[in-house]
Amino acid sequence: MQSLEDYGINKIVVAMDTSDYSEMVVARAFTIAIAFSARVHVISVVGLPKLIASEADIGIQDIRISEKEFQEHQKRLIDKYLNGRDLHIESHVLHGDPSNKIISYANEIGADLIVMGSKAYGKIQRLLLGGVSEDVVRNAKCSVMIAR
Amino acid sequence: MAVDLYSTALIAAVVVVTGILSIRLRISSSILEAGAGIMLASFLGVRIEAWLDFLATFGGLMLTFLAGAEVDLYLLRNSAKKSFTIGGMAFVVPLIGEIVFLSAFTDWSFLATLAASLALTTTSVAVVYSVLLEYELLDHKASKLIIAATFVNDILTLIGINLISPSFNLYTIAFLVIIAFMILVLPRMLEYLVDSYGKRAVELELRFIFACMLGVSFIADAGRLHAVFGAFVLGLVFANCIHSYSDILSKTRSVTFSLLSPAFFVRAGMLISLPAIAQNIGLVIGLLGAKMLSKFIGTYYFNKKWISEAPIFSTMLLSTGLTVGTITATLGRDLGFLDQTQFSIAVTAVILSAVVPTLIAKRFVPNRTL
Repeated sequence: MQSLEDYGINKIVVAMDTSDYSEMVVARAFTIAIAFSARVHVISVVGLPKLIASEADIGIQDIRISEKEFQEHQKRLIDKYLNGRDLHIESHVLHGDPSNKIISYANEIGADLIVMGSKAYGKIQRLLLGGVSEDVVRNAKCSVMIAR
Repeated sequence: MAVDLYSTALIAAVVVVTGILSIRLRISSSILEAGAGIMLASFLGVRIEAWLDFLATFGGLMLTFLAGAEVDLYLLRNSAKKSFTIGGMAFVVPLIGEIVFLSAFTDWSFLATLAASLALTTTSVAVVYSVLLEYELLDHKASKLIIAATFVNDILTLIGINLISPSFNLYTIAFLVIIAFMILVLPRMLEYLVDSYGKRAVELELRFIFACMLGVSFIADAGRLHAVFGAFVLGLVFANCIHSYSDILSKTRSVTFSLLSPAFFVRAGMLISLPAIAQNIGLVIGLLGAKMLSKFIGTYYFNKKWISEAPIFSTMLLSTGLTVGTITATLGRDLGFLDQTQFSIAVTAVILSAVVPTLIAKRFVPNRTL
């Protein structure tokens, strides 16, 4: 029979971008991580089309700029909310389809929880742009928390 | 002659829609633009007008220029022997393979065969780069070798374009002299322009690049070296200095990919005849198969030797291609060597080569130990 300890949270994936709500995402995730003494993996994904065929689909320079922005934003928020606390944190910038990457990274490390935000799209925007958080909630093997 | 605003507005709207669809469906905007071009011409009766011809020609030149400007010469120097061997084989063997295939199964003229074969020798830098990036393999040494080989392949294809109707005159010499002169003075000229007149609303840096590119393309064309070859060589010359001015490259890309590149791919699509594809689907598949098989024959041995962790993955990546292949086929058509049916067959095979080898390569992704 499983005990409560079996449902503990040991590894948390924090999926963040550079939007305003990423602060909320990191803060919520760290609060949980401190409570459970969990390891935290902060990841950001530079989005790439699934099928790239020409230079119009991928800007090498733009990708490098995005990587740098993500790294700086990750560092700033980690420093701000870690604030001297003893937490094991790793941070990575990945590339590809955001929802697939978040899910596959979580599977790869055996995460217990994914914490991420959700953009407040209108109906038309949601139809045109889709929702990463919706995909992750639907397809992740572990628990997912949407910070708002 | 007055511009037909119906077709202009329709094409402009279609370019926006394909842009949205490419984001929504996460697939290549260039392929969607070519597809939209097929629909516009086949079902909505839109014709290619002079303005689209101009923008598409300009687009082809800019895409070739950017292909040259993005060549990493440092990377090439660092792996010269291996990258020239793999890149050389990735060009020569498919060229021979396609010529043999077309000679055996069609009655095309030699120049049509050569133009179509050259279009299918290419490797897509964009596809190679993005697949390596997607699987977080980009920083590995072997990945740099694959990218360098891709550069070599593209350089050889664009040199190979001059095999089509080779001929030389005084302009050819003028072109070579100007290029040698530019290698020496261009970095300093660009530095002077940016320092003296740069970062203003008139965007002098862009005007300078466009003027250089069109001027060099004209002289290359007059020298029977073909305008795209001139644009590519100028891009290579710029490659040494343009990376120091990332905002110039960024602006050049913005103009190219918002206006010129869509015009190029929409026009290429409009030139494709659907009935010709339907009647020759076996030949299209055969051309694609010949490309993949000959890339395999040409590069697998060396990939196994130098990229032993992922020989099939590397071979498949070297079988991809779109932009330079489409440019080459378009050149063959514009020169009158490929008729509409032959162009349709060649470009469709090129478009498929951007998709099929990529999907196969993704089945052979190595662990992150490349």
